[in-house]
Amino acid sequence: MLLRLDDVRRHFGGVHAVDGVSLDVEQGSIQGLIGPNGAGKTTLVNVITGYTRFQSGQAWLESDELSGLPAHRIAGLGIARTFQNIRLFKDLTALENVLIGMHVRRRDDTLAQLGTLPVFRGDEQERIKDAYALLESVGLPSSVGPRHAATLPYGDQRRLEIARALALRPRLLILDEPAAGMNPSEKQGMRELIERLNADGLTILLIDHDMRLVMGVCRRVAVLNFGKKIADGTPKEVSTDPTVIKRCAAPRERRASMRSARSNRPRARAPRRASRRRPSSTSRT
Amino acid sequence: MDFFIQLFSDPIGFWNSHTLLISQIGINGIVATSMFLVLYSGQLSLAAPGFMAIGAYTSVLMELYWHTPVVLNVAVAVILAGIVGLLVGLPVLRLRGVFLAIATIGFVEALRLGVILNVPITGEGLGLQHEADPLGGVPIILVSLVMVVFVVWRLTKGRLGSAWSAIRQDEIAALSQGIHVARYKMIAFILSALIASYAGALEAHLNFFVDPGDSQYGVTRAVQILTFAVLGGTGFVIGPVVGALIVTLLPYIFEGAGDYINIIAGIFLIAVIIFRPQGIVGRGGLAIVRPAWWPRSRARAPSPG
Repeated sequence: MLLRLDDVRRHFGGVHAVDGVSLDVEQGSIQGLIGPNGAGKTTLVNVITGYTRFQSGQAWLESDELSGLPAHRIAGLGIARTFQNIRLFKDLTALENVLIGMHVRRRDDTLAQLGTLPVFRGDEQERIKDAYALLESVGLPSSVGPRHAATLPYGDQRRLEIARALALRPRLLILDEPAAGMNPSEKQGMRELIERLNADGLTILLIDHDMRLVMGVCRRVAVLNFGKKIADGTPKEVSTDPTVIKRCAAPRERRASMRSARSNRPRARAPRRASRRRPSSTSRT
Repeated sequence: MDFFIQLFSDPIGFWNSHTLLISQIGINGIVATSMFLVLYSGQLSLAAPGFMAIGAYTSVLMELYWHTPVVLNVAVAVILAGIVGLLVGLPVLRLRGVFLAIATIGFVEALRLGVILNVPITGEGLGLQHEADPLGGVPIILVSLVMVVFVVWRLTKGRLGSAWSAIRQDEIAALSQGIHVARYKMIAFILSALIASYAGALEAHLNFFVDPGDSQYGVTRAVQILTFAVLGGTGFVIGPVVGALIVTLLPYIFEGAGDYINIIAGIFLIAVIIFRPQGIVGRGGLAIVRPAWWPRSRARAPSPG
Protein backbone atom coordinates (compact mmCIF):
# COMPACT_ATOMS: atom_id res chain seq x y z
CA MET A 1 0.00 0.00 0.00
CA LEU A 2 1.26 3.44 -0.90
CA LEU A 3 -1.30 5.48 1.00
CA ARG A 4 -3.28 4.08 3.89
CA LEU A 5 -5.98 5.96 5.75
CA ASP A 6 -7.37 4.50 8.92
CA ASP A 7 -10.60 5.85 10.39
CA VAL A 8 -9.83 9.47 9.54
CA ARG A 9 -12.21 12.04 10.99
CA ARG A 10 -12.63 15.75 10.54
CA HIS A 11 -15.58 17.68 11.93
CA PHE A 12 -16.39 21.33 11.45
CA GLY A 13 -18.58 22.10 14.43
CA GLY A 14 -21.46 19.69 14.01
CA VAL A 15 -20.72 18.92 10.38
CA HIS A 16 -19.01 15.59 9.93
CA ALA A 17 -17.08 16.45 6.78
CA VAL A 18 -14.94 13.34 6.93
CA ASP A 19 -16.43 10.75 9.23
CA GLY A 20 -14.23 7.75 9.80
CA VAL A 21 -12.90 7.09 6.33
CA SER A 22 -10.48 4.23 5.73
CA LEU A 23 -8.92 4.00 2.33
CA ASP A 24 -6.02 2.14 0.76
CA VAL A 25 -4.32 3.32 -2.39
CA GLU A 26 -2.22 0.68 -4.04
CA GLN A 27 1.20 1.43 -5.44
CA GLY A 28 0.94 2.11 -9.16
CA SER A 29 -2.83 2.29 -9.30
CA ILE A 30 -5.34 4.96 -10.17
CA GLN A 31 -7.75 5.19 -7.28
CA GLY A 32 -10.98 7.06 -7.92
CA LEU A 33 -12.90 9.01 -5.32
CA ILE A 34 -16.44 10.07 -6.13
CA GLY A 35 -19.51 11.29 -4.33
CA PRO A 36 -22.15 13.98 -4.55
CA ASN A 37 -21.41 17.64 -3.81
CA GLY A 38 -20.54 18.20 -0.18
CA ALA A 39 -19.70 14.55 0.39
CA GLY A 40 -16.32 15.50 1.86
CA LYS A 41 -14.06 14.60 -1.04
CA THR A 42 -12.10 17.83 -1.03
CA THR A 43 -11.97 17.86 2.76
CA LEU A 44 -10.49 14.39 2.64
CA VAL A 45 -7.85 15.61 0.18
CA ASN A 46 -7.12 18.57 2.44
CA VAL A 47 -6.73 16.24 5.40
CA ILE A 48 -4.35 13.95 3.51
CA THR A 49 -2.24 16.86 2.24
CA GLY A 50 -2.08 18.62 5.61
CA TYR A 51 -4.19 21.66 4.78
CA THR A 52 -6.74 20.60 7.36
CA ARG A 53 -5.75 18.95 10.59
CA PHE A 54 -6.86 15.43 11.54
CA GLN A 55 -9.13 15.18 14.52
CA SER A 56 -8.66 11.49 14.82
CA GLY A 57 -7.46 8.59 12.77
CA GLN A 58 -4.17 7.90 11.11
CA ALA A 59 -2.61 8.11 7.69
CA TRP A 60 0.58 6.69 6.30
CA LEU A 61 2.44 7.20 3.06
CA GLU A 62 4.23 3.87 2.93
CA SER A 63 6.00 3.95 6.30
CA ASP A 64 5.73 7.72 6.87
CA GLU A 65 3.09 8.82 9.32
CA LEU A 66 1.18 11.82 7.94
CA SER A 67 -1.09 12.83 10.80
CA GLY A 68 -0.12 16.10 12.40
CA LEU A 69 2.39 17.11 9.74
CA PRO A 70 2.08 20.57 8.16
CA ALA A 71 1.26 20.79 4.45
CA HIS A 72 4.76 21.68 3.28
CA ARG A 73 6.24 18.65 5.03
CA ILE A 74 3.69 16.33 3.45
CA ALA A 75 4.48 17.80 0.04
CA GLY A 76 8.13 17.18 0.82
CA LEU A 77 7.36 13.55 1.65
CA GLY A 78 6.01 13.09 -1.85
CA ILE A 79 2.30 13.85 -2.03
CA ALA A 80 1.66 16.40 -4.77
CA ARG A 81 -1.75 17.80 -5.46
CA THR A 82 -3.68 20.03 -7.79
CA PHE A 83 -6.54 22.24 -6.74
CA GLN A 84 -10.20 22.18 -7.66
CA ASN A 85 -10.04 25.87 -8.55
CA ILE A 86 -6.70 26.18 -10.31
CA ARG A 87 -4.06 27.79 -8.11
CA LEU A 88 -1.15 28.70 -10.32
CA PHE A 89 1.36 31.46 -9.62
CA LYS A 90 -0.51 33.60 -12.10
CA ASP A 91 1.91 36.44 -12.71
CA LEU A 92 4.89 34.14 -13.11
CA THR A 93 5.69 32.34 -16.32
CA ALA A 94 4.79 28.73 -16.95
CA LEU A 95 8.46 27.83 -16.66
CA GLU A 96 8.82 29.66 -13.34
CA ASN A 97 5.77 27.83 -12.03
CA VAL A 98 7.41 24.48 -12.73
CA LEU A 99 10.77 25.64 -11.37
CA ILE A 100 9.16 26.59 -8.07
CA GLY A 101 7.83 23.05 -7.91
CA MET A 102 11.46 21.90 -7.68
CA HIS A 103 11.98 23.89 -4.50
CA VAL A 104 12.23 20.87 -2.23
CA ARG A 105 15.02 19.14 -4.13
CA ARG A 106 16.87 22.33 -5.01
CA ARG A 107 20.13 22.93 -3.18
CA ASP A 108 20.11 25.92 -0.87
CA ASP A 109 22.13 28.44 -2.84
CA THR A 110 21.74 31.52 -0.65
CA LEU A 111 25.44 31.84 0.11
CA ALA A 112 26.35 30.99 -3.46
CA GLN A 113 24.12 33.80 -4.66
CA LEU A 114 25.96 36.22 -2.39
CA GLY A 115 29.21 35.29 -4.09
CA THR A 116 30.86 33.44 -1.22
CA LEU A 117 30.46 30.07 -2.90
CA PRO A 118 30.68 29.16 -6.58
CA VAL A 119 27.32 29.62 -8.20
CA PHE A 120 25.63 26.38 -9.17
CA ARG A 121 25.17 27.36 -12.79
CA GLY A 122 25.03 23.75 -13.87
CA ASP A 123 22.14 23.12 -11.49
CA GLU A 124 20.28 26.03 -12.98
CA GLN A 125 20.61 24.76 -16.53
CA GLU A 126 19.66 21.29 -15.39
CA ARG A 127 16.52 22.56 -13.68
CA ILE A 128 15.40 24.56 -16.70
CA LYS A 129 15.92 21.51 -18.91
CA ASP A 130 13.94 19.37 -16.45
CA ALA A 131 11.19 21.97 -16.38
CA TYR A 132 10.83 21.97 -20.15
CA ALA A 133 10.77 18.16 -20.11
CA LEU A 134 7.96 18.29 -17.54
CA LEU A 135 5.99 20.78 -19.61
CA GLU A 136 6.35 18.47 -22.56
CA SER A 137 5.32 15.43 -20.54
CA VAL A 138 1.93 17.00 -19.79
CA GLY A 139 1.51 17.98 -23.42
CA LEU A 140 2.49 21.64 -23.33
CA PRO A 141 4.81 22.85 -26.10
CA SER A 142 8.01 24.58 -25.00
CA SER A 143 6.70 27.83 -26.50
CA VAL A 144 4.41 27.98 -23.46
CA GLY A 145 7.42 28.27 -21.12
CA PRO A 146 7.96 32.04 -21.19
CA ARG A 147 4.23 32.87 -21.13
CA HIS A 148 2.57 34.09 -17.97
CA ALA A 149 0.44 31.40 -16.39
CA ALA A 150 -2.66 33.61 -16.28
CA THR A 151 -2.60 34.08 -20.05
CA LEU A 152 -2.78 30.37 -20.84
CA PRO A 153 -6.06 28.81 -21.95
CA TYR A 154 -8.01 26.97 -19.27
CA GLY A 155 -7.07 23.46 -20.31
CA ASP A 156 -3.39 24.38 -20.47
CA GLN A 157 -3.58 25.89 -16.99
CA ARG A 158 -4.86 22.55 -15.70
CA ARG A 159 -1.98 20.81 -17.43
CA LEU A 160 0.53 23.32 -16.12
CA GLU A 161 -0.72 22.71 -12.59
CA ILE A 162 -0.10 19.00 -13.10
CA ALA A 163 3.40 19.72 -14.45
CA ARG A 164 4.13 21.82 -11.37
CA ALA A 165 2.92 19.01 -9.13
CA LEU A 166 5.11 16.52 -11.01
CA ALA A 167 8.13 18.76 -10.43
CA LEU A 168 8.01 17.57 -6.81
CA ARG A 169 8.73 14.04 -8.09
CA PRO A 170 5.80 12.81 -6.03
CA ARG A 171 5.09 9.29 -4.93
CA LEU A 172 1.37 10.06 -4.99
CA LEU A 173 -0.40 12.60 -7.17
CA ILE A 174 -3.81 13.80 -6.04
CA LEU A 175 -5.93 15.37 -8.77
CA ASP A 176 -8.89 17.32 -7.41
CA GLU A 177 -11.41 17.54 -10.26
CA PRO A 178 -8.87 17.86 -13.06
CA ALA A 179 -11.54 17.78 -15.75
CA ALA A 180 -13.96 20.26 -14.15
CA GLY A 181 -15.24 22.76 -16.67
CA MET A 182 -13.60 21.09 -19.63
CA ASN A 183 -15.27 20.34 -22.93
CA PRO A 184 -15.46 16.70 -24.11
CA SER A 185 -12.30 16.80 -26.21
CA GLU A 186 -10.29 18.44 -23.43
CA LYS A 187 -11.65 15.79 -21.07
CA GLN A 188 -10.51 13.09 -23.43
CA GLY A 189 -7.05 14.71 -23.50
CA MET A 190 -6.97 14.83 -19.70
CA ARG A 191 -7.96 11.19 -19.53
CA GLU A 192 -5.14 10.23 -21.87
CA LEU A 193 -2.72 12.30 -19.81
CA ILE A 194 -3.77 10.59 -16.58
CA GLU A 195 -3.40 7.16 -18.16
CA ARG A 196 0.00 8.05 -19.57
CA LEU A 197 1.29 9.32 -16.20
CA ASN A 198 0.04 6.14 -14.56
CA ALA A 199 1.68 4.02 -17.22
CA ASP A 200 4.95 5.70 -16.25
CA GLY A 201 4.48 4.31 -12.77
CA LEU A 202 2.85 7.21 -10.95
CA THR A 203 0.18 6.44 -8.38
CA ILE A 204 -2.82 8.73 -8.76
CA LEU A 205 -5.77 9.54 -6.53
CA LEU A 206 -8.42 11.00 -8.81
CA ILE A 207 -11.39 12.97 -7.53
CA ASP A 208 -13.99 13.97 -10.04
CA HIS A 209 -17.69 14.37 -10.66
CA ASP A 210 -17.39 13.10 -14.17
CA MET A 211 -18.48 9.48 -13.93
CA ARG A 212 -17.28 8.68 -17.39
CA LEU A 213 -13.77 9.85 -16.60
CA VAL A 214 -13.56 8.19 -13.19
CA MET A 215 -15.19 4.93 -14.20
CA GLY A 216 -13.18 4.79 -17.38
CA VAL A 217 -9.77 5.44 -15.98
CA CYS A 218 -9.72 4.00 -12.45
CA ARG A 219 -9.19 0.45 -11.42
CA ARG A 220 -10.70 1.02 -8.01
CA VAL A 221 -13.27 3.59 -6.97
CA ALA A 222 -14.36 4.68 -3.51
CA VAL A 223 -17.66 6.46 -2.95
CA LEU A 224 -18.12 9.08 -0.25
CA ASN A 225 -21.44 10.33 0.99
CA PHE A 226 -21.91 12.68 3.96
CA GLY A 227 -18.32 12.07 4.97
CA LYS A 228 -18.66 8.29 5.10
CA LYS A 229 -17.29 5.79 2.67
CA ILE A 230 -20.27 3.84 1.39
CA ALA A 231 -18.60 1.72 -1.26
CA ASP A 232 -15.18 0.73 -2.47
CA GLY A 233 -14.31 -1.60 -5.31
CA THR A 234 -13.93 -1.91 -9.03
CA PRO A 235 -15.95 0.55 -11.13
CA LYS A 236 -18.33 -2.26 -12.02
CA GLU A 237 -18.97 -3.28 -8.42
CA VAL A 238 -19.45 0.30 -7.34
CA SER A 239 -21.84 1.27 -10.10
CA THR A 240 -24.09 -1.68 -9.42
CA ASP A 241 -23.90 -1.34 -5.65
CA PRO A 242 -27.45 -0.82 -4.35
CA THR A 243 -26.39 1.58 -1.56
CA VAL A 244 -24.53 3.77 -4.02
CA ILE A 245 -27.47 3.89 -6.38
CA LYS A 246 -29.86 4.61 -3.52
CA ARG A 247 -27.74 7.20 -1.69
CA CYS A 248 -26.22 9.09 -4.54
CA ALA A 249 -29.29 11.15 -5.46
CA ALA A 250 -31.17 11.63 -8.72
CA PRO A 251 -31.78 7.91 -9.19
CA ARG A 252 -32.66 7.66 -12.86
CA GLU A 253 -30.17 10.13 -14.20
CA ARG A 254 -27.35 8.97 -11.99
CA ARG A 255 -27.89 5.32 -12.67
CA ALA A 256 -28.02 5.95 -16.39
CA SER A 257 -24.85 7.99 -16.29
CA MET A 258 -23.08 5.25 -14.38
CA ARG A 259 -24.16 2.65 -16.88
CA SER A 260 -23.08 4.66 -19.85
CA ALA A 261 -19.82 5.33 -18.11
CA ARG A 262 -19.23 1.63 -18.03
CA SER A 263 -20.24 1.30 -21.64
CA ASN A 264 -17.51 3.73 -22.43
CA ARG A 265 -14.86 1.42 -21.11
CA PRO A 266 -13.28 -0.90 -23.62
CA ARG A 267 -14.45 -4.34 -22.53
CA ALA A 268 -17.42 -3.87 -20.24
CA ARG A 269 -20.73 -4.29 -22.06
CA ALA A 270 -23.50 -2.06 -20.91
CA PRO A 271 -27.19 -2.99 -20.88
CA ARG A 272 -28.85 -2.22 -24.15
CA ARG A 273 -31.14 0.51 -22.89
CA ALA A 274 -28.37 2.62 -21.50
CA SER A 275 -26.16 2.32 -24.51
CA ARG A 276 -28.86 3.79 -26.65
CA ARG A 277 -28.79 7.04 -24.72
CA ARG A 278 -27.00 9.99 -26.19
CA PRO A 279 -23.62 10.37 -24.47
CA SER A 280 -23.93 14.15 -24.08
CA SER A 281 -27.02 13.91 -21.90
CA THR A 282 -25.49 11.38 -19.56
CA SER A 283 -22.32 12.93 -18.25
CA ARG A 284 -23.15 14.80 -15.12
CA THR A 285 -20.96 17.45 -13.59
CA MET B 1 15.67 73.92 -12.81
CA ASP B 2 18.80 75.50 -11.38
CA PHE B 3 19.16 72.33 -9.38
CA PHE B 4 19.51 70.09 -12.42
CA ILE B 5 21.54 72.62 -14.38
CA GLN B 6 24.08 72.64 -11.59
CA LEU B 7 24.09 68.83 -11.49
CA PHE B 8 25.42 68.74 -15.04
CA SER B 9 27.38 71.98 -15.30
CA ASP B 10 29.18 71.81 -11.97
CA PRO B 11 29.02 68.28 -10.49
CA ILE B 12 31.62 68.95 -7.79
CA GLY B 13 29.90 72.08 -6.62
CA PHE B 14 26.62 70.17 -6.68
CA TRP B 15 28.10 67.38 -4.57
CA ASN B 16 29.43 69.86 -2.03
CA SER B 17 26.31 71.96 -1.76
CA HIS B 18 23.86 69.06 -1.63
CA THR B 19 25.69 66.53 0.52
CA LEU B 20 22.83 66.26 2.97
CA LEU B 21 20.30 65.73 0.20
CA ILE B 22 22.41 63.04 -1.43
CA SER B 23 22.80 61.28 1.93
CA GLN B 24 19.06 61.46 2.48
CA ILE B 25 18.46 59.90 -0.92
CA GLY B 26 20.88 57.11 -0.04
CA ILE B 27 19.18 56.43 3.28
CA ASN B 28 15.73 56.52 1.74
CA GLY B 29 17.00 54.12 -0.89
CA ILE B 30 18.13 51.66 1.79
CA VAL B 31 14.80 51.89 3.60
CA ALA B 32 12.99 51.45 0.29
CA THR B 33 14.97 48.24 -0.26
CA SER B 34 13.83 46.98 3.13
CA MET B 35 10.24 47.72 2.06
CA PHE B 36 10.88 45.91 -1.21
CA LEU B 37 11.85 42.75 0.65
CA VAL B 38 8.60 42.45 2.56
CA LEU B 39 6.49 43.34 -0.47
CA TYR B 40 8.41 40.86 -2.62
CA SER B 41 7.48 38.11 -0.19
CA GLY B 42 3.85 39.20 -0.26
CA GLN B 43 3.66 40.98 3.07
CA LEU B 44 2.20 44.46 3.31
CA SER B 45 4.25 45.37 6.37
CA LEU B 46 4.59 49.01 7.39
CA ALA B 47 6.94 48.31 10.31
CA ALA B 48 10.03 49.92 8.75
CA PRO B 49 9.91 53.21 10.73
CA GLY B 50 9.71 51.23 13.96
CA PHE B 51 12.90 49.36 13.12
CA MET B 52 14.52 52.61 11.99
CA ALA B 53 13.74 54.06 15.40
CA ILE B 54 15.29 51.05 17.11
CA GLY B 55 18.42 51.48 14.99
CA ALA B 56 18.64 55.21 15.59
CA TYR B 57 17.97 55.24 19.31
CA THR B 58 20.04 52.19 20.18
CA SER B 59 23.13 53.41 18.37
CA VAL B 60 22.88 57.00 19.61
CA LEU B 61 22.11 56.03 23.22
CA MET B 62 25.06 53.64 23.32
CA GLU B 63 27.26 56.40 22.02
CA LEU B 64 25.96 58.94 24.54
CA TYR B 65 26.10 56.73 27.61
CA TRP B 66 28.83 54.19 26.98
CA HIS B 67 30.98 56.03 24.41
CA THR B 68 31.45 52.80 22.50
CA PRO B 69 32.75 52.88 18.93
CA VAL B 70 30.24 53.68 16.24
CA VAL B 71 30.66 50.41 14.36
CA LEU B 72 29.79 48.44 17.51
CA ASN B 73 26.80 50.69 18.21
CA VAL B 74 25.40 50.18 14.75
CA ALA B 75 26.00 46.43 14.92
CA VAL B 76 24.22 46.13 18.27
CA ALA B 77 21.36 48.27 16.98
CA VAL B 78 20.93 46.06 13.93
CA ILE B 79 21.01 42.85 15.97
CA LEU B 80 18.51 44.25 18.46
CA ALA B 81 16.17 45.15 15.60
CA GLY B 82 16.51 41.60 14.29
CA ILE B 83 15.46 40.20 17.67
CA VAL B 84 12.55 42.62 17.93
CA GLY B 85 11.62 41.68 14.36
CA LEU B 86 11.47 38.03 15.35
CA LEU B 87 9.34 38.75 18.42
CA VAL B 88 6.97 41.03 16.52
CA GLY B 89 6.87 38.72 13.52
CA LEU B 90 5.84 35.62 15.46
CA PRO B 91 2.30 36.81 16.22
CA VAL B 92 1.91 39.34 13.42
CA LEU B 93 2.96 37.35 10.36
CA ARG B 94 -0.12 35.17 10.62
CA LEU B 95 -2.00 38.16 9.27
CA ARG B 96 -2.24 39.09 5.63
CA GLY B 97 -2.78 42.17 3.52
CA VAL B 98 -4.46 45.13 5.15
CA PHE B 99 -4.65 43.35 8.50
CA LEU B 100 -0.89 42.93 8.55
CA ALA B 101 -0.50 46.59 7.61
CA ILE B 102 -2.66 47.67 10.54
CA ALA B 103 -0.89 45.36 12.97
CA THR B 104 2.52 46.68 11.93
CA ILE B 105 1.26 50.26 12.22
CA GLY B 106 0.23 49.26 15.72
CA PHE B 107 3.80 48.16 16.40
CA VAL B 108 5.22 51.43 15.02
CA GLU B 109 2.88 53.60 17.04
CA ALA B 110 3.25 51.55 20.22
CA LEU B 111 7.00 51.93 19.94
CA ARG B 112 6.89 55.66 19.27
CA LEU B 113 4.08 56.75 21.59
CA GLY B 114 4.51 54.06 24.20
CA VAL B 115 8.27 53.75 24.50
CA ILE B 116 10.13 56.60 22.85
CA LEU B 117 7.86 59.39 24.10
CA ASN B 118 7.50 57.87 27.56
CA VAL B 119 10.90 56.63 28.67
CA PRO B 120 13.12 59.42 30.05
CA ILE B 121 16.32 57.95 28.63
CA THR B 122 15.17 58.60 25.04
CA GLY B 123 14.73 62.31 25.70
CA GLU B 124 10.98 61.85 25.23
CA GLY B 125 9.49 64.50 22.96
CA LEU B 126 12.68 66.54 22.89
CA GLY B 127 14.66 63.91 21.06
CA LEU B 128 18.38 63.28 21.46
CA GLN B 129 21.22 65.61 20.69
CA HIS B 130 24.59 64.11 19.87
CA GLU B 131 27.75 64.85 18.00
CA ALA B 132 27.68 63.85 14.39
CA ASP B 133 30.62 61.73 13.32
CA PRO B 134 32.38 60.43 10.23
CA LEU B 135 29.93 57.57 9.77
CA GLY B 136 27.48 60.15 8.55
CA GLY B 137 29.71 60.65 5.56
CA VAL B 138 28.07 60.35 2.18
CA PRO B 139 30.45 57.70 0.83
CA ILE B 140 29.55 55.21 3.54
CA ILE B 141 25.87 55.72 2.95
CA LEU B 142 26.17 55.31 -0.80
CA VAL B 143 28.41 52.25 -0.49
CA SER B 144 25.91 50.77 1.98
CA LEU B 145 23.09 51.44 -0.45
CA VAL B 146 24.91 49.65 -3.25
CA MET B 147 25.77 46.70 -1.02
CA VAL B 148 22.26 46.33 0.38
CA VAL B 149 20.74 46.50 -3.09
CA PHE B 150 23.25 43.95 -4.35
CA VAL B 151 22.61 41.50 -1.52
CA VAL B 152 18.84 41.74 -1.84
CA TRP B 153 19.05 41.43 -5.61
CA ARG B 154 21.12 38.26 -5.33
CA LEU B 155 18.76 36.82 -2.73
CA THR B 156 15.76 37.34 -4.99
CA LYS B 157 17.56 35.34 -7.68
CA GLY B 158 18.18 32.29 -5.51
CA ARG B 159 16.12 29.61 -3.85
CA LEU B 160 14.93 32.11 -1.25
CA GLY B 161 13.74 34.50 -3.93
CA SER B 162 11.79 31.88 -5.82
CA ALA B 163 10.11 30.82 -2.58
CA TRP B 164 9.24 34.46 -1.86
CA SER B 165 7.76 34.86 -5.34
CA ALA B 166 5.66 31.76 -4.86
CA ILE B 167 4.40 32.98 -1.48
CA ARG B 168 3.59 36.41 -2.90
CA GLN B 169 1.58 34.85 -5.68
CA ASP B 170 -0.33 32.23 -3.72
CA GLU B 171 0.50 31.01 -0.22
CA ILE B 172 -1.70 27.94 -0.44
CA ALA B 173 -0.17 26.81 -3.72
CA ALA B 174 3.30 27.52 -2.30
CA LEU B 175 2.55 25.13 0.58
CA SER B 176 1.59 22.42 -1.89
CA GLN B 177 5.05 22.77 -3.44
CA GLY B 178 6.73 22.00 -0.13
CA ILE B 179 7.65 25.59 0.67
CA HIS B 180 7.78 26.38 4.38
CA VAL B 181 5.70 29.55 4.02
CA ALA B 182 5.92 30.74 7.63
CA ARG B 183 9.71 30.39 7.70
CA TYR B 184 10.33 32.24 4.45
CA LYS B 185 7.98 35.06 5.41
CA MET B 186 9.84 35.37 8.71
CA ILE B 187 13.21 35.47 6.95
CA ALA B 188 12.03 38.31 4.71
CA PHE B 189 10.53 40.19 7.66
CA ILE B 190 13.68 39.92 9.78
CA LEU B 191 15.97 40.84 6.90
CA SER B 192 13.87 43.90 6.22
CA ALA B 193 14.04 44.77 9.92
CA LEU B 194 17.84 44.52 9.83
CA ILE B 195 18.08 46.74 6.77
CA ALA B 196 15.63 49.32 8.10
CA SER B 197 17.42 49.57 11.43
CA TYR B 198 20.74 49.96 9.65
CA ALA B 199 19.27 52.83 7.66
CA GLY B 200 17.88 54.29 10.87
CA ALA B 201 21.27 54.16 12.55
CA LEU B 202 22.94 55.81 9.56
CA GLU B 203 20.31 58.50 9.48
CA ALA B 204 20.73 59.26 13.17
CA HIS B 205 24.42 59.82 12.61
CA LEU B 206 23.75 62.00 9.61
CA ASN B 207 22.00 64.59 11.75
CA PHE B 208 22.98 66.02 15.08
CA PHE B 209 19.56 65.33 16.40
CA VAL B 210 17.26 62.33 16.70
CA ASP B 211 13.73 63.59 16.21
CA PRO B 212 10.92 61.43 17.62
CA GLY B 213 8.32 63.09 15.35
CA ASP B 214 5.66 61.30 13.34
CA SER B 215 7.32 62.22 10.06
CA GLN B 216 10.49 60.48 11.24
CA TYR B 217 9.45 57.29 13.00
CA GLY B 218 5.67 57.29 12.67
CA VAL B 219 2.91 56.41 10.24
CA THR B 220 3.71 59.38 7.98
CA ARG B 221 7.14 57.91 7.39
CA ALA B 222 5.67 54.46 6.81
CA VAL B 223 3.38 55.83 4.12
CA GLN B 224 6.27 57.69 2.56
CA ILE B 225 8.33 54.49 2.40
CA LEU B 226 5.40 52.62 0.90
CA THR B 227 5.19 55.39 -1.71
CA PHE B 228 8.85 54.80 -2.64
CA ALA B 229 8.10 51.16 -3.31
CA VAL B 230 4.79 51.55 -5.12
CA LEU B 231 6.01 54.46 -7.26
CA GLY B 232 9.22 52.73 -8.23
CA GLY B 233 7.67 49.32 -8.72
CA THR B 234 8.07 46.22 -6.60
CA GLY B 235 8.93 43.66 -9.26
CA PHE B 236 12.58 44.50 -9.23
CA VAL B 237 15.02 45.54 -6.47
CA ILE B 238 16.03 48.77 -8.14
CA GLY B 239 12.41 49.96 -8.39
CA PRO B 240 11.93 51.16 -4.81
CA VAL B 241 15.35 52.85 -4.91
CA VAL B 242 14.31 54.81 -7.99
CA GLY B 243 11.05 55.58 -6.21
CA ALA B 244 13.00 56.88 -3.20
CA LEU B 245 15.16 59.02 -5.49
CA ILE B 246 12.17 60.59 -7.22
CA VAL B 247 10.10 61.18 -4.09
CA THR B 248 13.05 62.72 -2.27
CA LEU B 249 13.74 64.98 -5.23
CA LEU B 250 10.11 66.00 -5.80
CA PRO B 251 10.58 69.44 -4.20
CA TYR B 252 13.46 70.08 -6.61
CA ILE B 253 11.78 68.58 -9.67
CA PHE B 254 8.76 70.82 -9.21
CA GLU B 255 10.71 73.84 -7.94
CA GLY B 256 9.00 76.08 -10.45
CA ALA B 257 5.55 75.33 -9.08
CA GLY B 258 6.13 77.58 -6.09
CA ASP B 259 3.25 77.44 -3.62
CA TYR B 260 1.47 74.77 -5.64
CA ILE B 261 4.27 72.28 -5.31
CA ASN B 262 2.34 69.80 -3.17
CA ILE B 263 -0.59 69.80 -5.56
CA ILE B 264 1.65 69.28 -8.57
CA ALA B 265 3.62 66.53 -6.85
CA GLY B 266 0.37 64.81 -5.85
CA ILE B 267 -0.93 64.95 -9.42
CA PHE B 268 2.37 63.52 -10.62
CA LEU B 269 2.11 60.56 -8.22
CA ILE B 270 -1.48 59.87 -9.22
CA ALA B 271 -0.54 60.03 -12.89
CA VAL B 272 2.23 57.48 -12.37
CA ILE B 273 -0.13 55.11 -10.56
CA ILE B 274 -2.73 55.42 -13.32
CA PHE B 275 -0.46 55.13 -16.34
CA ARG B 276 2.16 52.87 -14.88
CA PRO B 277 0.52 50.76 -12.15
CA GLN B 278 3.45 48.33 -12.02
CA GLY B 279 5.71 51.24 -11.01
CA ILE B 280 8.29 53.23 -12.91
CA VAL B 281 10.66 50.28 -13.06
CA GLY B 282 8.19 47.63 -14.09
CA ARG B 283 8.83 44.39 -15.85
CA GLY B 284 9.00 46.28 -19.13
CA GLY B 285 12.10 48.29 -18.19
CA LEU B 286 12.46 51.96 -17.40
CA ALA B 287 10.27 53.46 -20.12
CA ILE B 288 7.10 55.15 -18.87
CA VAL B 289 5.53 55.10 -22.31
CA ARG B 290 6.85 52.40 -24.56
CA PRO B 291 6.53 52.85 -28.30
CA ALA B 292 4.75 50.02 -30.08
CA TRP B 293 7.85 49.05 -32.07
CA TRP B 294 10.00 48.69 -28.94
CA PRO B 295 10.97 45.04 -28.39
CA ARG B 296 9.16 43.52 -25.46
CA SER B 297 11.40 42.05 -22.82
CA ARG B 298 10.93 38.33 -22.62
CA ALA B 299 10.03 36.85 -19.31
CA ARG B 300 12.87 34.80 -17.91
CA ALA B 301 13.48 32.06 -15.44
CA PRO B 302 13.45 33.27 -11.83
CA SER B 303 17.10 32.61 -11.20
CA PRO B 304 19.42 33.19 -14.13
CA GLY B 305 22.74 32.45 -12.49
